[in-house]
Amino acid sequence: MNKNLKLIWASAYSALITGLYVAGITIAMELNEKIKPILVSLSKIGSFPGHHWVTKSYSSVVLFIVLLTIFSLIGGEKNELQVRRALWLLIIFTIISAMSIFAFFVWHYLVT
Amino acid sequence: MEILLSKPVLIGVHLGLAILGIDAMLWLAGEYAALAMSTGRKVFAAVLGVIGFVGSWIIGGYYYVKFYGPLVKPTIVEGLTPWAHKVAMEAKEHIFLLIVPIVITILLATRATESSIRKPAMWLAILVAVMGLSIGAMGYIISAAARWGVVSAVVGT
Repeated sequence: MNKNLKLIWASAYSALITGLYVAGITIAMELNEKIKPILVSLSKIGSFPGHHWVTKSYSSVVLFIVLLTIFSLIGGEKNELQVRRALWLLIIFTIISAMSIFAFFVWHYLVT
Repeated sequence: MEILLSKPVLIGVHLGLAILGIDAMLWLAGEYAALAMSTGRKVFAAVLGVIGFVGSWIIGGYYYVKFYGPLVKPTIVEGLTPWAHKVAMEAKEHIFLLIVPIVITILLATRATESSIRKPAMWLAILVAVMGLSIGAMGYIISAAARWGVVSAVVGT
């Protein structure tokens, strides 16, 4: 079994889902004012009052590691074709996630 | 330690590490484009990319939370170009979060010897470099907006 191919496949899908999570939580926080205080409170440590971006940073790292662990353990062996497809999908969905974030903030600035 | 944590040094190190990450990704893309056989060189370039972007994330994050929010953001929002924060900074700080999981994936892909993975890995490295350069351009807009925000506050225009 080629463990490296499996790991690349797992990392590609983990990065893809993490990107969608970042775009989703970012847009959701701007649209729903109840989310921001929750995110701020989750990164409150000692004298640090907390920050929504810090929570998003931590949670994206945790999500990526958890998904990478799960995806590298489940399922069978992955072949070149599956890894290739995972990498192309990562490219496409990263562009979608990044453009969604940028387009949202342009729209948000224009309408508020 | 005090000098290292000063505002201009933090910005400089944040930018320098991001440039290291971008250059590493361009180097890696070149290795793939040239059909280079050296796995060691590709892994080294990808490791530099991971170090650059992770370091830039931590240093930039510290500056953003500690200094940008309380000191720079009000100057921009109340200045001539509030969109520099409301569009450029907001997009920059969140799009950056996409990069590190991708460079880790790229690092893993550099160890693969299968030829069919070369092309998507190369385009992934190019995508990260383009994202890094775009984020850098947004950073320039934010810095310029802060400077002109201060000027407009002094001159009153």
